[in-house]
Amino acid sequence: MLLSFGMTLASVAVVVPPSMASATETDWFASHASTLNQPLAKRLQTHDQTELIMVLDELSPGADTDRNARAVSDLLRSGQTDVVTDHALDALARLRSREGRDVLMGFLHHRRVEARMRAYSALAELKDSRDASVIALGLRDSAPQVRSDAARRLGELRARSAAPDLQRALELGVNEASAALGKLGDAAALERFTTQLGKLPLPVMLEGYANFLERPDLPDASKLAVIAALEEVSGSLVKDFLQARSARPAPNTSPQVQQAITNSASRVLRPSTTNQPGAGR
Amino acid sequence: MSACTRGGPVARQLLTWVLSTLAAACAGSVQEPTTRVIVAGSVCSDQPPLLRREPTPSAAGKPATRLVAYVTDGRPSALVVYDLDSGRERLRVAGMFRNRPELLDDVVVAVVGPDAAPELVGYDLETGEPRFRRPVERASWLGAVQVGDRVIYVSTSLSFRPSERGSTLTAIDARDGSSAWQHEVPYALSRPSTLGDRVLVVSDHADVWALDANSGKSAGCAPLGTESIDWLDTRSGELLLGASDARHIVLTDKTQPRDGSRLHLPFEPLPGQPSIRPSGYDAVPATRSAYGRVGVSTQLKPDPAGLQVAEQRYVYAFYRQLFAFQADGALVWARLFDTDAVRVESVDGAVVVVTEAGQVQWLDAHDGHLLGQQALIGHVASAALRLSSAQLPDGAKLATPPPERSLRDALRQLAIDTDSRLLPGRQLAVQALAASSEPEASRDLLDVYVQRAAPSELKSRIARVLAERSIGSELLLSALDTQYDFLSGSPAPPLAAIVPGLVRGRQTQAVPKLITHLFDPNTERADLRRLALAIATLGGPTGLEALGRFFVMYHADSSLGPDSSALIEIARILWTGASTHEVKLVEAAAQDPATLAELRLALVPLMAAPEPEAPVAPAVNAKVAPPKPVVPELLNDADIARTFTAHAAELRDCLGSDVATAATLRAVRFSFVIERSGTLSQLQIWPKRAALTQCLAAKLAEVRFPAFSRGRRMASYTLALRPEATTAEVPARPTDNAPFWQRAQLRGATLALPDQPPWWRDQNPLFVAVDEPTKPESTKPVEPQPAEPKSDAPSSAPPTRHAPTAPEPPTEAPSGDTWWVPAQPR
Repeated sequence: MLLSFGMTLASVAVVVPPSMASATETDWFASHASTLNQPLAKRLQTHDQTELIMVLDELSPGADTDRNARAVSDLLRSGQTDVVTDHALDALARLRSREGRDVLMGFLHHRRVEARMRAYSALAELKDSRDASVIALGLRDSAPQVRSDAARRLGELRARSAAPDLQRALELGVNEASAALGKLGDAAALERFTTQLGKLPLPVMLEGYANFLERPDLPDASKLAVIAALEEVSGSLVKDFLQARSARPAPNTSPQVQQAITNSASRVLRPSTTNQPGAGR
Repeated sequence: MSACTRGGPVARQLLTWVLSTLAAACAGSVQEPTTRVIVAGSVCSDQPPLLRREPTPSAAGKPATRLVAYVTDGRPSALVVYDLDSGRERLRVAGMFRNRPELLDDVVVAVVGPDAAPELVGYDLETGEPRFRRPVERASWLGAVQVGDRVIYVSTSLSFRPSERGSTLTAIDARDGSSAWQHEVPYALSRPSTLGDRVLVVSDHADVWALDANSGKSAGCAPLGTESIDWLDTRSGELLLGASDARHIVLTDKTQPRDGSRLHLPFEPLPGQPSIRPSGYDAVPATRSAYGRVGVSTQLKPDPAGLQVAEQRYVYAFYRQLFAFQADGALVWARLFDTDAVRVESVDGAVVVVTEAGQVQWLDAHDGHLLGQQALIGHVASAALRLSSAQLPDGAKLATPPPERSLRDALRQLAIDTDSRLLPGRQLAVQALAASSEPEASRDLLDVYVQRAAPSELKSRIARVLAERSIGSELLLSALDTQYDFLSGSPAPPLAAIVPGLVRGRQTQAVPKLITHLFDPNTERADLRRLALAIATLGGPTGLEALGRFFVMYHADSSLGPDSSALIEIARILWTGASTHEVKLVEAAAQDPATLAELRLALVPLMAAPEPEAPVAPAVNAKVAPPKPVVPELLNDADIARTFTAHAAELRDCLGSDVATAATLRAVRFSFVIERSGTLSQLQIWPKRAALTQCLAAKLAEVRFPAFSRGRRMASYTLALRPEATTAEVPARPTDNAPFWQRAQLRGATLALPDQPPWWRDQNPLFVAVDEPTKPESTKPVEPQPAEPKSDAPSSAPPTRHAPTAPEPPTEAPSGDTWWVPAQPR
């Protein structure tokens, strides 16, 4: 790895790209076209930031995905400017090759928040359940953006093992953990989730409940308990929430749950305007 | 100066006869106007010596009841006397009390009323009935004693007007407050003490004056030398006094007293460097103040072997903190109270503390554990104690004794407490923890360090003591296991406090953990350099590999852009490392245009230094490091002058190319900025002549000054072209070692006036371009001479003389971009 840094920079003495500042547009396109046919690893051996970004942005999954991922990984290992690093991490996210996993693991601890977020995203794009525990580490990150992104990614991955961490994160204000828990939490997780009703903002809780209620794998009893709890909270938000689900039931919703949603939606009252003149008479 | 004012103790001998003559005019006595009074400067003149007297039978008696008298906090306040033995209040009276009350034999006295008309009130300690109320003579009431039926007190006033300045010693009848006798003196008297039937005061920090308590007549006077006396203590039946130290004054039967033993206690580490006893010249307010809350308490024991502290213990109170020390300064125990300790008294193996919350706590003087406790009613602002023994009152006994607490635990509690007033005491606790032989003290120190509210002074002290501490480095190692964790709330470990101790303890097993923290985004940027150095010191090849990895990853990343010092340090480590592999990393970074600007600049001088020798064998080379290039922090004037001198020949070429220019110029002025790498930028040259400027700029672009590590250096340099006009050096004279005024006088007498402009003419080099005389003296170019560089940085080089080319205002204005140049008159 260290040698790649040395080799990359050592090769600059031989292949120095034309400077954008000094070249005319035509000259630059000509020289750019001449490099297009080169292998990616070769094309990435440049210090021209624009050139690097263009090459990275061109990358997409294909025949040479693994080889390209290795080349991008080498580029990242050699240490780049922020913009090149970010584009390289995005490229790895698009390539979805496990060849880039090792370097992504290193960037999960990068000092720059943007780089960490991109590394978590790229790792999540591998869609490998083995990485769920690593992505769950993002919930422990010092940056709120990273924590939110990790929660979202865990939900997408349906990483059930991350439910306790997500619950804790939710209690500590990572709102995105609510929706994630709704996607992956089991009945016990739902029960624990409901303990936050009244403590956390209702819209945050409803994001989670929406996902819980759509889940075919959850027992009806748990869903009915949710509906009852929401009816107890009452209010406009709850009424809208239940009415929406009554009007457009989620697939595989049992008739019993559907009936309960409809009944609750009709029972929940909107808050009266008691402070208006004449109200309460 | 008024004749009544007194001189210092040193001049006292000379003024004796004068002041004796003036005595009657400067002082008075209400009872006996003709009585010879004590006057300034010759306090003891015509006075009998202070002699020893046999103790009077009245001095001994049954032990007095133990009492606490206190003034409650708030408005209006109340004076309360509480009987510690019976556990009941003897007196409670409301009023605006001005001074801390005094518990006398059978009366409690305090001062009430406004500043302009203070009054002394006395209440019977048995019945609580008022006994007297009378005006206090002067604004500040210092305190009172009781001898038989006499209450004697001192009041004093400070003023710039001599007529208003002085003290009054007043004796009243303790039964009704009627006047008995009074002395007024135009200087300061201390709080009174009693010795048998005599009242003792210190006059103006110098002499001890004794008066018969009953009659007020002078009963002796003792001049005690030039050493200042701040307090007087006769509770032991002996005459003890002093300032920071305590002195035992031995009274004899016939002659003046002599100095006995002396006691010095090591108070230097204590906040405020207190005295053994509080000053006898301070009026102690009744309201909340530092009086009583900050200070030392101990029983002084005059012993044939010398003056000692009883139980070999003294305690030091600092608001809510209480420290007990051995006489040699070793800390024995410590306690933290919930509220301020208003009054602390040591008595026969016990320490009695009255707290602001109204608790009277009885502590064991040996280990500080709580023996008993009593509760007063109301919050206490100030308090006085009368204790005759350490026997625990019945009402103070505890149902269940509190758990024992070790000194380390107590110190930890003190150090971690967040009361901002207590920082000096917390630092004292930290220092004591650092001296602990228990390894766990290191963990305690870290616990204090990681507190969010810990002040920076405390943190830096902890870091310092941990670095010096040789015990507990394994705990420092385990402290590295913690990492920032949002979910668990675990903070990042305090690396600044941990790492130096690990390096000192040569904890090589810390290297993997240190590397983990190097790559941890939660590690403070300021800690990275420290980590890198520790890894380099302890890590060997593994450490170097990790440093190389970090260097490569971040050499172009903005996260370390604002402060690249860690990367620069790592580059230095890699460059001087054992392997050519690491050296190549630095070389590659130097060539990478994306490398952070600050880092790239620093790499230039680093790599310009002699290269380390190729390693023969890593193991050997790891032990014998190649010589490291030394980059100074700042560039000094001598370096600049040396560089110019070295390039004088090249610069001369520019001057020589234009004969006309050379003929008219007497000096050329350069103004420029030197970057850390030694390159020169923002060059300006005067006079502004295109050919000359172009030539010189080209030459100077090639010039490299020595590299330095901190900031940039703005400098100017005058290249003098007329060496013959240099001011002649003043030859060394035998008087060169004389004082400066003498040398200046001699030089002025022998030197001719220099051919220089007057000193008041503006010679600011920033706008003085060059002197162009109207009559050229020579057409031949002359050798450039180095002159003194002027810059904004301090110079470490010896001053050199200016060439006598008197700078005149420039004939042509500088370019428009030099905003700092004042507009020149046209």
